[in-house]
Amino acid sequence: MTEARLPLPLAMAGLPAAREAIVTSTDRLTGLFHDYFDLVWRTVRRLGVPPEALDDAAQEVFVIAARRLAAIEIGKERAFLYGTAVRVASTARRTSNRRRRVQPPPEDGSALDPADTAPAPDELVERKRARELLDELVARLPDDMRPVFVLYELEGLTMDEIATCLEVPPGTVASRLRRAREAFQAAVGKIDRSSARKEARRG
Amino acid sequence: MADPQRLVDDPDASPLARSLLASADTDAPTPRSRAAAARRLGIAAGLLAAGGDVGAGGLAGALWWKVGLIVVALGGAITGGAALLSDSEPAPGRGSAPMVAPAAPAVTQAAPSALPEPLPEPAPAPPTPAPAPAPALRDAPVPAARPAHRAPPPPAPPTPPAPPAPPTPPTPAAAPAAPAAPTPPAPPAPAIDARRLAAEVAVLDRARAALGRGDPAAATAALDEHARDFADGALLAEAELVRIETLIRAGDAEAARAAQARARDFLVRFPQSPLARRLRSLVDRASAPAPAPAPAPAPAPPKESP
Repeated sequence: MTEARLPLPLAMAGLPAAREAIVTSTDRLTGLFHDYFDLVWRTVRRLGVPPEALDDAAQEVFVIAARRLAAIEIGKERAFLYGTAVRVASTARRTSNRRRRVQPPPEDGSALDPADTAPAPDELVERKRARELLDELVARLPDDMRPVFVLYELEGLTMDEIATCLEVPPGTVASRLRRAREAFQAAVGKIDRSSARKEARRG
Repeated sequence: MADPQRLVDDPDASPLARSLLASADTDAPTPRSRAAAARRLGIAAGLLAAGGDVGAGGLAGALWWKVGLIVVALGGAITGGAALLSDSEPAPGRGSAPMVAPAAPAVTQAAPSALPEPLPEPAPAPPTPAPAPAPALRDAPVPAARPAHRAPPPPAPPTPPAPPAPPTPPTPAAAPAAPAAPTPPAPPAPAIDARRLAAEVAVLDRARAALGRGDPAAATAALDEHARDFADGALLAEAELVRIETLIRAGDAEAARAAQARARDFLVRFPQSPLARRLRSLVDRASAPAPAPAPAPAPAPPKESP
């Protein structure tokens, strides 16, 4: 079935090696899609691409991967996709930020007050709020720190892996991560009191 | 350079910071997102041969093997096309276009480019049909954790009933993901049972909270409850991770062995899960300082079938 879709000139040329290469890269792209679509999607999501642009951004990453498949070293696919996701997400964020300003988080921490307005059970509401708050905090990180923070804290990469993905020196990753963690924790600290209230209420 | 402990696992980090970070655990595309991505990739590559498939089945069926087919086709076109076909340029064009414009540029024949989010109507992309994706093309297990995000398997048959639905008007730029395909209203739309998922999340949050405040007994109780009530739950991987962490925290040799056995099993079951990576770091840390009796948990090969 794959054969039927070979580009005609190659098929006619009957070059086994070329065909082999195509089949291989076809399999490879299929594999990439299956293995990494979720990863790419959630990475661009975590990097702050707004919901309405998420699918496009994830798709974009694979379009780029498909175009550059031959240049992606075996074994480096994940790093390539992470790196590409970071760049694509950055563009997507800028594009959408132009359209709508990022909502500033409520200063009074009211995002954490259980409101009991939604029909869903509290726990889900809380989880959703936490997710939204995390989004806001991540969005407020400086642009150069955000990818490092997301890849390290949410995606669980090592600093070395991040250096590879982002093609920056390890020392840069280390310092960005340190500053990002400080910024994140400082921001969390500011709202920690209302969180503590909530926790207490939850028992 | 030593990687610092991840905040989400760091007992010294504030509970709020940890729970905020943990809230990202369930980030995952919907099956519809996957299908739409594959479909639009196919369209972008100018593959209308696949477009037929896709229009008809990409959304409504959302069968993974079809997605695989599309990608196969896409790969063929692109890899060949890079050298040979300058007429299938839509892919690059699409690629460098402002990606927020969700509509595929010119090529809207097969279907009017699905839009990402605003799709309340539960018609296409039945989540259940193929929990193990792409059987023929690829037997590498896609993270079992992902399929698990779809609610408990309702007995909906994969595709059989495909009553022709009123075709949605294909407005290129603004069509709300109009699947130009039959939109079976009821049958294959096992939407996630939000209540049940919420209940499951609640149990796990309780377990995690108990763990966070150093109460492994309560954590274990909550996890047992989860195992009992949500044996087919959507968050099995998450539950397992909390379970392993609980065992690790217990601190005795028997629990450590159990944790390691479960960790190995976890890595086989959910090799691509982000939780798997968390698990590795968790286990690495746990086995480093403590003179654990068992051998270090080898990171399981990512491609084993359970």
